[in-house]
Amino acid sequence: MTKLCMYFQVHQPFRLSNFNYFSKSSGYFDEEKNKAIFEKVANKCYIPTTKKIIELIKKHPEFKVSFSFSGVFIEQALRYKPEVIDIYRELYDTGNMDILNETYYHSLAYLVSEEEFKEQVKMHRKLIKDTFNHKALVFRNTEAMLSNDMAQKVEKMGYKGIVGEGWDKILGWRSPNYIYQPNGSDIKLLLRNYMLSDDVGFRFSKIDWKEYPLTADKYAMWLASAQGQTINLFLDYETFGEHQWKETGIFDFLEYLPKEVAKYPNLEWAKINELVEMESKDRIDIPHILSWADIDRDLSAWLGNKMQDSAFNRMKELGIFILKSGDKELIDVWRKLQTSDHFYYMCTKWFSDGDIHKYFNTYLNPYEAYSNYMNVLNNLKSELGLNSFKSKDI
Amino acid sequence: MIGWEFPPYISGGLGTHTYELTRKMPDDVNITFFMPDRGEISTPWMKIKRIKVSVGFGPYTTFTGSVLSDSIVKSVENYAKEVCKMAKQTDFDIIHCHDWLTILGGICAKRETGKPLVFTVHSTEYDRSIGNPCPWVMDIEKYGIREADGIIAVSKRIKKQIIEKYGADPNKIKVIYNAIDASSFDCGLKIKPGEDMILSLGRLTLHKGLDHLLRAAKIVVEHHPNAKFVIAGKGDKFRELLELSIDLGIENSVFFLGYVPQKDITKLYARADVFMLPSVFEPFGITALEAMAAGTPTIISKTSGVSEVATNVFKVDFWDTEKMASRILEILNYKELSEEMSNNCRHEAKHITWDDIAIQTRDFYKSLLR
Repeated sequence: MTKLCMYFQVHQPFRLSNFNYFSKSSGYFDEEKNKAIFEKVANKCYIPTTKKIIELIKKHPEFKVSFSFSGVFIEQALRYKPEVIDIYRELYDTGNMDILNETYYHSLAYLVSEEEFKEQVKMHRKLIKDTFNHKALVFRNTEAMLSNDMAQKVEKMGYKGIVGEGWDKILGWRSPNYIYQPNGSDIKLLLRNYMLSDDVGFRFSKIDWKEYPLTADKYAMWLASAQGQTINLFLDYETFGEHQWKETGIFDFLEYLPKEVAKYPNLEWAKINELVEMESKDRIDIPHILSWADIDRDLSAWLGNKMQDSAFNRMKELGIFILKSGDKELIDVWRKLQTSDHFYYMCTKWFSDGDIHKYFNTYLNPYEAYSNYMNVLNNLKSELGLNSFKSKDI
Repeated sequence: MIGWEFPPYISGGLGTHTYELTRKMPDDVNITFFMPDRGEISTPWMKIKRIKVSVGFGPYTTFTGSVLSDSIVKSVENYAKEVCKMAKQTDFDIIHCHDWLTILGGICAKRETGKPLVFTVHSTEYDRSIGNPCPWVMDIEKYGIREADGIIAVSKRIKKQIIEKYGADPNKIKVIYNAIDASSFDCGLKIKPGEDMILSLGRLTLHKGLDHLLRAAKIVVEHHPNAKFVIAGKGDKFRELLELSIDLGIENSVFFLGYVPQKDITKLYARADVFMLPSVFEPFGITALEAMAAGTPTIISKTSGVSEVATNVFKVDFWDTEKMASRILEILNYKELSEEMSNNCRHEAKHITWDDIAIQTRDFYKSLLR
C-alpha cells in the first residue's frame, strides 16, 4: 500500500509601498495593491479550489489533503476577504484536512537568529490554534529550507515531521517515496516527489511537453506504478486557477483525480500527520541548507548576490534596535521585511541575460526591488532616530 | 547605401549606425556608400563615393520657427540629384537610405533603375520638433515612407509613430534596433573614482529633457551636496539650461562641457557614477548602450527606444523628477546596487551587437529581393 499525500502551500506577502530615497512615511505596505491581489487570487484560486475540495471529499470520503498557511496570508485573508478563512474552516471540519506549522512571516528568520525563528514559529502555532483550533505535528520552514541542524532544532520544538525537497543530491540512489530521518535527530523527513509534483505544478499546461495534455487517469496510473511508502505531492496552492488558469483544465484534473486514484487498490490518500507514524528506512545527511527553489535547490534565490546579502544584513542589524525599542508596530514591520519574497524579487540569477525570474513580481527589475527595500529600511531607521545607510557605512 | 554623416563627422545615432552597419555587414553583401564630401575617411570594407555639397546642417537640425534658408533646400536637392546621377552608373540590387536628408536621392534612383528602396527611419521631424514639424521636412519624410518598399524603424516607438503620423503601411515596417560595439567603450575600469558624477550626453535640445534632469538635480544636491552633474554636448538650449541651473541655485553643481571629442567621451563614461538619458522623445538613444558597455549604472526615460531593449537599467518617466532624483541617490548611496548594476549592464551590452543588426538588415534586404 502506498500513501498519497497532497499538501498545498498558501502564502501572500505584504508587498511594500513605493518609497523614494527621501520618502518619510509609516505606510510601509501597499494596502491597495495587497488587497487587489488578494481578492484576485481569492476569486481565481482560494475560493473555487477549496469549495471544489470540500465537494470532492463529500463524494470521495477517502480523499485527504494537507495545508500550510503563512501567518501573513491568514492576516490578509482576515483583513481583505474573511470568507476565505470560513471556507478553509469548513474544509477543516470535514476531518480530512491537516495543517502544518511554519514561520508566521514566511520568513528567513532561521537565518536571522534562533530566538527570532522560535518566536515566529510560536506566533504561527498560536495563530493556527486560534484560527482552526489545530495543533500541528509537521513543520515546514520557508520554501522548504532543511538541514541536519534545522531538523534537530525543529524536533526539540516538539514536531514529529519536517518537510523537505526530495532532491537527488541528498538522496543519491534512494527514492523520495520513503520515510527517512536526518543525521542527528529522529524527526521524520517528508520529502517532496518533485518529478510528480512538478508534472502538475509546472508542466501541466506546457504544450511542448511530450505528456501534454496531462489527464487524471494518466496521472493516477503514474502514481499507481510508483514504488514506496508514500508519494508526497507538495504544490503551491496557486497552481489551481492562478499559475495554471481555469482554461487549462486544471480544475477538471482535480475533479477527476480522486475518482481515478480510487481505481488502484494499492493507493491510499493520507494527511501529512499520518506519515510521521511510518517507519524510517534510512538516514539522510543534509549538511547544507536545501530548499525547493529553482534548479539549484539552495538559498541562492533569496541570498547570494550583493544586493540580497546587503539588504538581508542591514535588516538583520536593524533588529537589535527594533527589538530594543519594544515598539510592537515597528517590530511587526521589521518581521514583515523578513518575508522571503522581498529577497526573491532581488534575484539576478537569470536576469542579467534578460530572462526574468518567473514569479509574480511587482517590480520591473531586481534593482528596483533592492532600492525600494533599502529606502524602506532607511525610513524605518529614521523612525528609530538612527542615521541612513550610506555607502560610507559599509 | 546613401548616408549623410559618418564618423568622425557625426552628431547623432545615424552616423554610428551607418558606420557599424556597413562594417559588420556579412560578406555576401557588397556596399557602395554615398555621402557628402567632408574629407578623407578610411573604410576598407566598402567603396565610398563622396559628393560635393554644403553640409552646414545635419539630420537633427530643427527648423521650427526659423525660415528654411535657400541654401539648405538647395543642398538637399543637389545631393539627391548627384546621388541619382552616380547611382545610374553603378551596379546594385537594392537602395538603402537613412533619414530624410538622403531619401530624395534614393527615390530618384529607384525611379531610374526600378530597384527596391529601403528607408531606415532613425528619427522623425515630428519628434525632433516636439509635435511642431517643419512641413517641408515632414513632406519629404512622408514621401520617402510612401515610396519605400521596406522601412526599418530603430524602435517600436518610431514604428508606431510613422504609422500614426505618417500613414505608413505597417506591413512594410521592420523594427531593427541599434547596438553597441561594447569593446570600444569598456576600458576595463571596474572601480569608479567616486566623484559622485552624474553624466548626461547629447545635443542640448528640447527633446532631450535636460530641464527635467536639472530639476531632479536640485533634489539630489539637497540630499547629496557632493553630487556633480556633468552635461556634455552643445545645442540651441544651452543658454536656457544654464539660466535654469542658476534659477534653481545649483549652478555650482552643474557643469556644461560643450562639445566633447569621442576619445574623451569614453573616459567620461568610465568615470561617471551614473549615466542619465532623460529624453522626452528619443527614437533610440545609443548613448545609453555606450554607458552600459562602460559599466556605468544607467537611468533612461521610459519614452526612449533603448528602453525597449535594455533591462539592467532603471527606467523612469521623464517628467517624474522626484523618482529620477531618488534613483540617482540610490545609485550614489547603495554601493551593492551600483556594483550589481555595473556588472550586469556591462555584461548585457556585450550581447547587443552590430553583427546581429547587420544580419537582420541583410535578411530584410533578401526578403525584399525575393
